[in-house]
Amino acid sequence: MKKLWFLLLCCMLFMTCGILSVSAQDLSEDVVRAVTENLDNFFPITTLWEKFDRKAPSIFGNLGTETATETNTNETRNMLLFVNPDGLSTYVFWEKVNSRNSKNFCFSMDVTVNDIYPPQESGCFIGFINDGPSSSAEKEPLQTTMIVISDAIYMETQTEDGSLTDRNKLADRRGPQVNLMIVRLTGETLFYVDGEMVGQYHDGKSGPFSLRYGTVAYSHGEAAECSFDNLSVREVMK
Amino acid sequence: MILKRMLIIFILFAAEMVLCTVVSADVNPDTLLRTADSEIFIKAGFLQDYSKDTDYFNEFINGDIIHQFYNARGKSVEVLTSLRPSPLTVITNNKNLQFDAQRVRGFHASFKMRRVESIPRDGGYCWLRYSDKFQSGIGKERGVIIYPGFKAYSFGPDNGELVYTEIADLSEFNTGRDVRVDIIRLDGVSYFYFDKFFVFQYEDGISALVSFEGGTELLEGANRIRCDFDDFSIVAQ
Repeated sequence: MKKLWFLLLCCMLFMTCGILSVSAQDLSEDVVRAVTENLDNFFPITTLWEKFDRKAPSIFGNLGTETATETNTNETRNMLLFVNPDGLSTYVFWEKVNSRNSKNFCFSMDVTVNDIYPPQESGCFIGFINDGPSSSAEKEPLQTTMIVISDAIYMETQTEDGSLTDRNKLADRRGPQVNLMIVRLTGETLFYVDGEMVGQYHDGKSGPFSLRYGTVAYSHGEAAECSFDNLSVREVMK
Repeated sequence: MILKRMLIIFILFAAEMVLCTVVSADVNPDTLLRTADSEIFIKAGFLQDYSKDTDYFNEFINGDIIHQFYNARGKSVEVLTSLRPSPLTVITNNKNLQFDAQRVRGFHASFKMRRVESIPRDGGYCWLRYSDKFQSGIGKERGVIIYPGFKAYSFGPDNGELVYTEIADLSEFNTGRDVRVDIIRLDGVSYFYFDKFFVFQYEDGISALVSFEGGTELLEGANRIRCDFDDFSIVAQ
């Protein structure tokens, strides 16, 4: 009788593992490796390459609880966000990338974290949002998907009002400057840090998407100062 | 009675030997490949060695499958990728692997092909075919298609669709390395060689001129297939 119970338990464990592995929708290792090794031929069209080495207008904003500035200095784009936190709201100060809306792209930037305080409550990010003109009749809810350098490196999704819907740690923090890259191809998103694939995500959105980068302060975040450089956007087709 | 039976068997055996001798006296496939280019196919040839690199060309098929082709490092590369398991079998070719301008009746065609990547391992095939497509029209053509590492088929129209019939098993020809394929067509019969060894022959029944094309086939449920082609040459009679 004991053996029967043991077998039954094993069967249940096996089935649970099976269900979990089916529901986890990660791409296979072979597919991820094929994409990673062939980024140059999956995304051969460079649509934007920005080194921030030209003069650009500075931006200053003050909304009472938040103050934000954006300047080009030392051939980088610098973004500052100061917040008087209310313990509830997330503040995002972002810049839209001047490239066309797209469903398939490889978006890369060098990001330097100058100051984030407190470290776990603020960060620097690059990401994308499904705010492009959609061909579908039904407008899908807006969602920002991003890779954030905070106390660690995270993948996050936010709704239009800044509420977090997903947050997964991808990697530990690295040196002061890292290269962040987001690859979105046929609905699958891969996140890279310094060329290493650290995570993947299936957003279920049809897009098209516009690209963004910027700073974020969560409910208790007070400051985020980030520098951005070497912005690159590559696409699959012209 | 026993003698009579033995005599009948002997006569049948002798008749078969005579028939075989007649056929092999016409064409010896094993020597044909060695002598073809010096004695039979003497017209100016065509050679594509893919020595010039091209830009990458990408397109989407069915939204989620990426078809890529380009020439690089002296090869013509043809790739199909579906990040999720492909919902359908997809067959593609491209302009670098279409030889419609080379229209021939009797010929010696030679090329190299290699299945460089397949996810999973049996996720697809590389193929090359000849057909009378340019004269009969797409969907009405007759021809032969070979899948090294799998099979060879003849095909032709039947009630408005192309029907494929297996004519040879090529499963022993590993395509994970460069495989050299030679096809010699003489008097309506095609002789197929892999790595210079005669493998099979087939009378295709095509009276029109034929042309060639090559490509990849990604099977349903698979993720990726990449085939490299090289040194495609044709010499005609």
